[in-house]
Amino acid sequence: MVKRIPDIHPVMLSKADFLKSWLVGLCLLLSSPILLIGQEVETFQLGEPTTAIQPIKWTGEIYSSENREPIINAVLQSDSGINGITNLDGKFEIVLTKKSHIFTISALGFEEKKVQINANSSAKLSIPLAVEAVLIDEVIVSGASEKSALKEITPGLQRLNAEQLETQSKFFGEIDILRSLQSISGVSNTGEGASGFNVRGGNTDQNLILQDGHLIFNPSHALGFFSLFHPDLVQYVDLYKGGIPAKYGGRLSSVLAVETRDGDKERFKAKGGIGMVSSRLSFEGPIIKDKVSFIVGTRYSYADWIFGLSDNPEVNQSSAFFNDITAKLNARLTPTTNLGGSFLRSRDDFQLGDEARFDYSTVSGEAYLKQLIGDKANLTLSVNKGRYESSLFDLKGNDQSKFTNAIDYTRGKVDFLYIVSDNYRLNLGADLNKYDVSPGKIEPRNESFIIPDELEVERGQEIAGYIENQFTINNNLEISAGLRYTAFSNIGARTVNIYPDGEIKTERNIIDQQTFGEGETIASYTGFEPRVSLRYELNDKTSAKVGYARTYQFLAQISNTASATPIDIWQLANQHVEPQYSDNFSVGLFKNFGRKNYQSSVELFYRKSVGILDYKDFADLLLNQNIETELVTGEGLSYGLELNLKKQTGSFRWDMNYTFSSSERQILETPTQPSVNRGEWYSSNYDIPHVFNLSMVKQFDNKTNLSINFTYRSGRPTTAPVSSYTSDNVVNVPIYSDRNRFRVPDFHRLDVAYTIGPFGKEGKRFDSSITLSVYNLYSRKNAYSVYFRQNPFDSVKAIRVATLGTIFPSITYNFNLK
Amino acid sequence: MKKYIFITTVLALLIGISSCIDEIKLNVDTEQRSLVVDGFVTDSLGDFQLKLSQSSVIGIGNDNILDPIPNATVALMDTDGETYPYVESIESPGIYELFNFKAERGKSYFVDIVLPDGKHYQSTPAELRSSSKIDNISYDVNEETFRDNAGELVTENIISAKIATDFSDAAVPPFLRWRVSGQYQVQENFPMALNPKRCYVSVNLDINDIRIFDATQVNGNELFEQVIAEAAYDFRFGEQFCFHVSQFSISEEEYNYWRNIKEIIDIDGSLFDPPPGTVVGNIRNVDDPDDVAVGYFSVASIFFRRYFVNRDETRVSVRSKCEGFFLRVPFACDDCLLLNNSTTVKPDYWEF
Repeated sequence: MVKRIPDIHPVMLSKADFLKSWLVGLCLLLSSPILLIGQEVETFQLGEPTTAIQPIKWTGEIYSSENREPIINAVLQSDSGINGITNLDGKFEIVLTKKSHIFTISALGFEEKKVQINANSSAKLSIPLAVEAVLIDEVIVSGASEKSALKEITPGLQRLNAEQLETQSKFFGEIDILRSLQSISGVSNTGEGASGFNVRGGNTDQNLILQDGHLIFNPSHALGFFSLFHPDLVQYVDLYKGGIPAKYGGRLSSVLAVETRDGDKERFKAKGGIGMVSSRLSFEGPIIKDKVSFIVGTRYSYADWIFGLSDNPEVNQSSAFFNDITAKLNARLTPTTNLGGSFLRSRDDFQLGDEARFDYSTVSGEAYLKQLIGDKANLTLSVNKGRYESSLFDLKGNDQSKFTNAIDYTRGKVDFLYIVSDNYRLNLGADLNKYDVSPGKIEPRNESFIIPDELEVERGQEIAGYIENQFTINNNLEISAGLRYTAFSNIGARTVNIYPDGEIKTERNIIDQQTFGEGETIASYTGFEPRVSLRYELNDKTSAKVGYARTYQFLAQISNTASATPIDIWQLANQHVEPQYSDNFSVGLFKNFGRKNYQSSVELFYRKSVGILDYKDFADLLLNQNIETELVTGEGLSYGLELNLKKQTGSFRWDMNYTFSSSERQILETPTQPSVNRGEWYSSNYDIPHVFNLSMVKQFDNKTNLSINFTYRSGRPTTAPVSSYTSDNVVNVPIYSDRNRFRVPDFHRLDVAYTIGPFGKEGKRFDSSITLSVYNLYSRKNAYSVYFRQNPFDSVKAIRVATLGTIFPSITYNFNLK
Repeated sequence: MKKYIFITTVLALLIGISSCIDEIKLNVDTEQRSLVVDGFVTDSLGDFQLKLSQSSVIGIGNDNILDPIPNATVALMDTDGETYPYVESIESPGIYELFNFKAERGKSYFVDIVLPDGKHYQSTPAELRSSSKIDNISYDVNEETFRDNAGELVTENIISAKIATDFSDAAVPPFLRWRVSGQYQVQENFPMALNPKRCYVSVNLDINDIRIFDATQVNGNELFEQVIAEAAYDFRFGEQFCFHVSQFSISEEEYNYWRNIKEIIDIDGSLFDPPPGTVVGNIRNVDDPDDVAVGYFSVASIFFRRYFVNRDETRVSVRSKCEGFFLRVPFACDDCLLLNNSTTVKPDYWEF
C-alpha cells in the first residue's frame, strides 16, 4: 500500500525562494502551516505497519516538482549510512531496516531535501524535489549543491549554478551564458566584442560546444555580446575545463554542454523579457497531458535605433540584428521510453552603411530516444544534422560579391549507461560525425569584376567508441577510468596538391595534383584517448582530485586574427594538415570551511598540445586553394593555478577567483615550414597571466536585489612596431617586433545590476520584474586592441581602440506566466 | 587577399560604431634597426636613384629622419653579367645615382650593395615585364564623409582619377602599380599687382596611398573605372590641374610586397586584424640568409600619361587660390614662388 503524500508542490518553497522574498514567504508561512514542515523534515510512512520482520524495500522515483520530470542521479543519503542513487528514469531502490530514517535527497539543480521515512513494509514512495530556486526568472540552471564540488569526480568541471549566473553582469538587461562563463576561473576571452571563449589558454575552436545533441560551431550573437543559448530554456550548463569524460571528444581544451529543459507536461507557461535592444519569449506546455510536451524559446534584436542616433552616415545606415529560435518536443511514450526532438536556428545579420553585409546562421535538428532497460541501464540514441553558414556581401563598387562558406554536419550517437552496482557504473557508446566543409565560394553581384570561384568541398568522417568505468572503491575514494578511440578519415572526391618531400609548401612548389574519387580515403588518422579521474575525500569537508585526459581534434578553425571571425573556415585534418592532440593534467584540492560554509578550491592545470596551427606572416586564408601553404604547426603549452573562494548561502553571497596562467607556443623551423620567432617559445593570443573576478549579490528584504561584478585581466599579447622606414611613397612602414612580444593595457570593468520584483501576488500565475543595469560603471576605456598609426609626417603612435569605452546603462522588463 | 582586407575593414568599422579611440603609451623597449633599400629602374631612359639608410627607432623624435648610409658600393647588374655602377650623390649622402639608363625587355636585373662594414646584399633578379598601356583617364567628383586623423567627421568634395585599360593583347595578365602626382596653376592676384606671375605647383597625391592591381583576379581582360588617385577637390582645381599618372608593370613578387605593405599600414585596431608582420622585401645578405634588409628594389616597365582637369568642367565649382576680393592678401598670392615645389617656368605640356 502506497501512501503518497498530498501534492504540495505549488507551495513547496526552497531556501532560495525564501531569499527571493521574505515578505512572500512570511505571508505563505502564515497561511500554510504545512510549509513549515516542508521546509524542515517531512515525514512519510513507507508501507502499512506490519509485524513481519523482513527487509523493507523502498522503491520510488525522485521527480521535479515543477514539471514532474524524473531526476537523474539524485542521491539519497541516510543518517545511518544507507545510500541510493536514481537511475536515468529517476528510479531508485533502497533496502531499509524497520525503523525511521532521515534521508537527505540531493540532485543537481534541485533543492536539497530532508525527509523522514518511517519504514513499515516494502512499498513504493516517490518524492518531488523543488528546482533550485533562482532569484531571477530568466534562467533556471542547475546548481551544484554545497557539497557537489567536493563530490564531483571530474577535476575542472564547472557547473554554472543559478546564484553564479545571477551575479553576472546583465549587459542589456539579459543574462548570457557565454558572458557568464567568463567569470569562471580559467575562462577568458580576448576582449569586449570578441566572439567565443578561451579555456585555460586554449583557442576558441578548441571548445566542444553542445546544446543538448546539437553541435554548435559559432555560439555568438552580435560579435559575442550575446550567445545563441536562450536563457529561459537552459536547465544547466556544464563546462569541463580539464578532465573530460570519455563520452566527449573532438576538441582539445574543453566541453561546454548546455542542457535545455523539457516543456512542462501539466500546464501552459510563458516567460519573456523586453529590453532596449532585444526581447525574448518562451512558452511551454503539454500537448498530451503528462505524456507529450513542447517548449519554444525565441529572441529578436532591434538594435537599429541605436545606429540611427548617430550622425555618422556610415553608422546610421547600418543595421545589426540577430534572432534565434529553439523548439523542443518531448514524449514519454511509455514509462521507460522517451522520444523527443529539437530544432535550433540562429541568425545574425550586420549591414555596414550601404557597403557591406555580413550574415551567419546555424540551423540544426536533433532527435533522440531514451530507453530504460530494466531499472539499471539506459540507452540513448541521438541523431543531429546541422549547418553553419556565413556570408559576406560586398555591396558597392567594382567588386560587388558574395562570399560564402559553410560546414554541414551529421552526427549519430549511441550511449549506454549501466549501473552495475552502487559502486560501479559503466558507460559505453559510440559517436559518428560526418563533416562536409565548403571552404569558400565567391559569386559576383551586379556588374562586377569578380570571377566566380568555388573551392572543392572537403569531407571528413570521425568515428569514435568509448568506455568509461566509474568505481567507488570506498567511502573516500572514487575512480573513473575511461578510454576513447577515434578514427578520422578525410575522404574524396577532391583534388589535392602534392609538394616535394622535405620542402617548404608554397604555391610555386606544387609539383603535381592527385584526384581522389567519391568516398576514397585521402588521409586517415586514429588515436587512443585515455581519460582518468580520481577523487579522494580526506574528510567530509575536504577532497582532492586528480585527472588526466588526452584529447584529439580533427578540425580546426582557420583564423589568424586575435579573435575568430564568423567567416573563418573550418579545416579538416587532411594529408597536409595533421590532427592536433593534447595531454591535459589537472590536480585540485577542494575544501569547505567555517560556519557559513565557505567553499574554496585550489586547482593546477597543465596542457601540452601537439599540432597547433599558426600562420605565416601575411597569410592569405580566404578562398585559398592551397591553404596548407599558409600554415605552420608546432606545440602549445599552457599551465596555471586557479584559486576560488565563495560563499553561496545567506542573503549576501559572493564568489571570487584568481587565475594565474601561461599559454605559449613553439613553431620550429623544419624543412617544410619556416619558424615563428626563430623557434623560441612565444605567448599565444590567449596568454592572459592574471585574471581576477569578483561577483557579489545582496538580497534585500524588499523584493529587490543588487549585484556587483568586477573583472580584472592582464592585457592580451600583441605585436608592436620597433622600427620604421620609408619605401618609395610609403612613409613610416613599421618593422614589427617578434610575434606577441608586447601586451595591450590591462582590462578591468565594474558592472552593477539592480532588480526590482517580482511584482504581483505570490500564488498568482503572473509576475514581473524590472532589471536596471549599468555596464562598465566607471567608464573604463578597455583596450579592445592597440594598433599603430602611421601618419606620413609624424612618428608612429600606439592607438587604443575600446569597443564600449563608456558606461552603458540599460533597462529590461521581465515577465513570467507560471 | 583583397577580400581579406575588405573584411578586416568591414569588421573594424562595425566595431568602430560604438568605439572610442585614443592614443596610449606602450613601452617598446628594444632597438632593432635594419638596412633600408629604396630604389627602382624602368624601361624609360633616364637617371635613377637608390637610397640606403638605416630604419629609425620608434618613439625617438621624428621617425622620418632617416639615417643615410654613405660610402657604400652600389651597382646594378643584369643576368648577362653586365654591371652598371651607381655613383653616390655629393650633396645628399646615402643617395646613389645611375645615369642615363634604360632597362631592356627580356633581361633580368638586380642590385648589388656592399656596405662600408663589408656586408654584402643583393636583390632577387627580376625580369622586366612588358608594359601595359592606359586607354583612357577620367575622373569624378563626389561628396564624401569620412573620419580624419583626429577622429572627427568631415565632409569634403573628393576627386577620383580613374583609368580604363584593356590588356587583351598582354601575353599574361599584368600586375600593375600606379603612382600619381599632380600639378596646378596659381595666378597671382593682389591689389596693385603690376605684373602678376603665374606659378606651376607640383603636389604629392599618393603619400601612403598604395594603388595596385592584380589582373589575374578579374573577369575578362578589361579594366574600367579603376580609381588610381583621390584628392580633395579644392582651390587647386580652380584653374587647371594636371594628373601625372605612371603605370608600372611589376612582378608578382613586387605586387605581393606592396599588398603586404598596404595591409600593415591599413591596420586599424579591429580585433580581426591579422597579426602584423614585418614585410620582407627582395634584398638579402648574400652571406647570411637570415639578414634581410627592408624595402624593395623594383624593376618595372612604365607607361606614363598626363591628364588635365579644367575649371568648370565639373558640376562642383571651386575658387582658385587667389580669386575674389579680400582684405588681406592670402599667403603666396603676392608671390606664388613661396609655395613648395613651385615654378614660374611653364611646362611645355601645359595646355592653357
